[in-house]
Amino acid sequence: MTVRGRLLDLNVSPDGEGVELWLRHGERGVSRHAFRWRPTIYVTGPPEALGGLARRFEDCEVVEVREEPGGRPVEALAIRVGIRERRRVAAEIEELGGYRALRVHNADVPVLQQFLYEHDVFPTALVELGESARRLRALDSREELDYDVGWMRVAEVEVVPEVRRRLPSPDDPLREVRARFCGEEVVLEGDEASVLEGLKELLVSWDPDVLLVRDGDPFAMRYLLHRSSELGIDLELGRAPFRNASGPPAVYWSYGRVYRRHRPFRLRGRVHIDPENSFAFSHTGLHGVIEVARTCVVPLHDAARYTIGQCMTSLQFEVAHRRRVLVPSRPRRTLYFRLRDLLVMDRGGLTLDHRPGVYWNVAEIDFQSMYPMIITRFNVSAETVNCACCAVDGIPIPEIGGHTCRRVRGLVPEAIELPLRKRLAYKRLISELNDDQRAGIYRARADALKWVLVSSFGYLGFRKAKFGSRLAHMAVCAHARAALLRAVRVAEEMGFEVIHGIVDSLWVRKEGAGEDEYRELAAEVERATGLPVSLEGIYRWIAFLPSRRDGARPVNGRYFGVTTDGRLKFRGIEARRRDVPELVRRMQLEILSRLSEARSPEELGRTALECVEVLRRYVAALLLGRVDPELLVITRTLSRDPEEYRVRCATALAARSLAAMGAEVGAGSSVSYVLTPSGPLPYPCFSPSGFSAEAYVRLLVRAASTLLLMVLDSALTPKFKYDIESLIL
Amino acid sequence: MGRNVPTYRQRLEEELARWSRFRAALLRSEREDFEALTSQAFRYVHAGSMYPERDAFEVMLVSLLLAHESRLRRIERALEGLIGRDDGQG
Repeated sequence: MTVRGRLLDLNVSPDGEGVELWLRHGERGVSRHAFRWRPTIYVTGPPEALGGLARRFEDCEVVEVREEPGGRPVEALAIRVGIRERRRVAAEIEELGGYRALRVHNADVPVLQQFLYEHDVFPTALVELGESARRLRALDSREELDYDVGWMRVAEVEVVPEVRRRLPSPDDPLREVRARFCGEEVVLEGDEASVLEGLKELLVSWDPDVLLVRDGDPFAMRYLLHRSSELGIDLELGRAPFRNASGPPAVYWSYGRVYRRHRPFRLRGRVHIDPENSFAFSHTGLHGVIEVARTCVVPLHDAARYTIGQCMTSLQFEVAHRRRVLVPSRPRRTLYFRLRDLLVMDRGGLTLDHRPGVYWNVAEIDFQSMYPMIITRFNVSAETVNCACCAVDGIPIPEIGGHTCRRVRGLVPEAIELPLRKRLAYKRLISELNDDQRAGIYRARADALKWVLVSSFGYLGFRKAKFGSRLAHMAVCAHARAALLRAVRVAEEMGFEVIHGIVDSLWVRKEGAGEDEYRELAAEVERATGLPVSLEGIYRWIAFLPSRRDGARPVNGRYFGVTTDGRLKFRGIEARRRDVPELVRRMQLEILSRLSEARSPEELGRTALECVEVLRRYVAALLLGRVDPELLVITRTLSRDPEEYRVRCATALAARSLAAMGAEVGAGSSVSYVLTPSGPLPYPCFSPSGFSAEAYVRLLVRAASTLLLMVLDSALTPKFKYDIESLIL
Repeated sequence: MGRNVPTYRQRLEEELARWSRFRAALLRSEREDFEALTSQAFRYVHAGSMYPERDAFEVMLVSLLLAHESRLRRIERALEGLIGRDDGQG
């Protein structure tokens, strides 16, 4: 008998002898299927050594594979090993070969993903499970854009402990549980036992597939289980019991920021997502998580918790599996460069500094998904750079020399083709659609794919990436610089003045140019570079800001302006920063929206002067104590553990006092505090009257002058400007 | 990646930092001239970053000459305008 259903989730079965599949059958519920299966590891080395090894294992065979993407086919011993023994066996084989003769591959490909690749299925797909759970196939495609997820039952649960001290602890009794499902909200309160019994009943009657629980990973889920075991209540959060290992959170760097990721709290047969502990969920919601799970072939539990790079890696593993390319245990492509060569080759994107000032009628044109596009268009991958087959006629790499392959598709470009294609298709659907709700879903999916694509370039140069290469990374940068330079040339030839350029964006202007002319420029740049280019917007005016330390020097990526259709755009100013109190943000936005109404330079100067009044109003409210203290909270992410800070900055002080209260704070944690006359005070202990008005007035003045000085500077004479400055500061 | 070697902008800053004792010995007005001069080098960072194998000092020298040329030409144009107007009136 065959079974059909939606592949909700999968996990390693408790006996370790296979995986458990959970299939949803519409309204008819969810079924569990044990699937006996063992992952494969591959060993390469001299034939006699492999022969000897083959005699030690029962379940093994010799197969033809490639050790690296562009390599020749070689023979490898494919050994099926138990899920729990995989790493141990791999280590033993490496030891047996003296860490040289025998190379073990695929031993660290996440086991559930390996299962999915091997059976060509993916999470949430409609699947058909054959006779006695030995065959599995998908009736659904990863390419599908308009797939159905309406069958998924999603419940949201909020756990509120009766906090006795300042911070919640496992011994605090449970005060209430709020739960939402299909527009229905239930608040469970009263004595602790009845709240827990109530939750238990809700889980049975709602039978959710996905549980969204705030703080579920670090606290709430374990807390619920702890409270119920204290009261002797048998609470089951999943569809079967599951043991979760506890441990410290992982701290990692990504694109200039420190993140803290808590260990996942998995459920069996039900997906638990902690919105606070999920990059994908916090950026793109459940639809984004589902899109990532489907496209990158990652179980939902992991899709919610992976970094974007881990999702990208899964895409590459999947391609490698299809092409019978092995995944090395450690990246082996070590390339050494001379410093002189690095100086030439290892450079990032190109920047053309602006001259600080206010400019009128400026257009911004952007290369769309520039790096992923370069990777696919020029076929840049570790194995395609300087390949032997295209020594004469390869695709040349600008500046640094060398070429990429013209004949064989690279593994990295192939891996990003699917997300790239789907993202463009979603964007097209959004623009054609009149249905806001659908468009919102497509937008979430397109954004989720965008994040995954962003990492495709960074991972080329990441030392732990399995299929990376520094040369490939440098080749992408070289193509990017060449494309931007080409764009500058094209713009100048068409009579535009280039004001500013950063990596993949260009700001240009031309006296009296209209939208048509700017569109023509974008089209021309697209033709000249072969990369997709869009007209991001036309600014009525845009102010590029100088450095705070040196007024003559520009700071790239610090600007604000208003587009011809009235949209505000700003980067790098206070309102855009995460660590700025809401009060300051509100004032800046108010000033910005006033400024955005100006239609001429004179009017802009006049409005800027009027805006001094806005600052005065905020300062007055602050001094008179008429400000909601919540607006004063400053939230910052710690870049290191509290005790490691050497400077006594506000963030470090606040973090230390939080830690002293017993809170779990470390690198990557967010710390909220309020500035008081005696120093920063963690927000939970703050009393409304105790803030330092002086400190906040300083922040307000600073934020107002960021906007106003620049605008006034361009509108007024130096003498008058000096007067204004002394008036404001 | 991308942080293995200093960028041209960083190398230019380093080069200028080497001149700190020279700068310190200048008189106040001379120091202002020095600042005004060296800050001109930053106008051509985009071009400097496209010639990474050249010594930062040499790229800086050409950048300063370029800034000088650019100002010279602007002044010439302005001057021609003035002379032209004089001619017209005379």
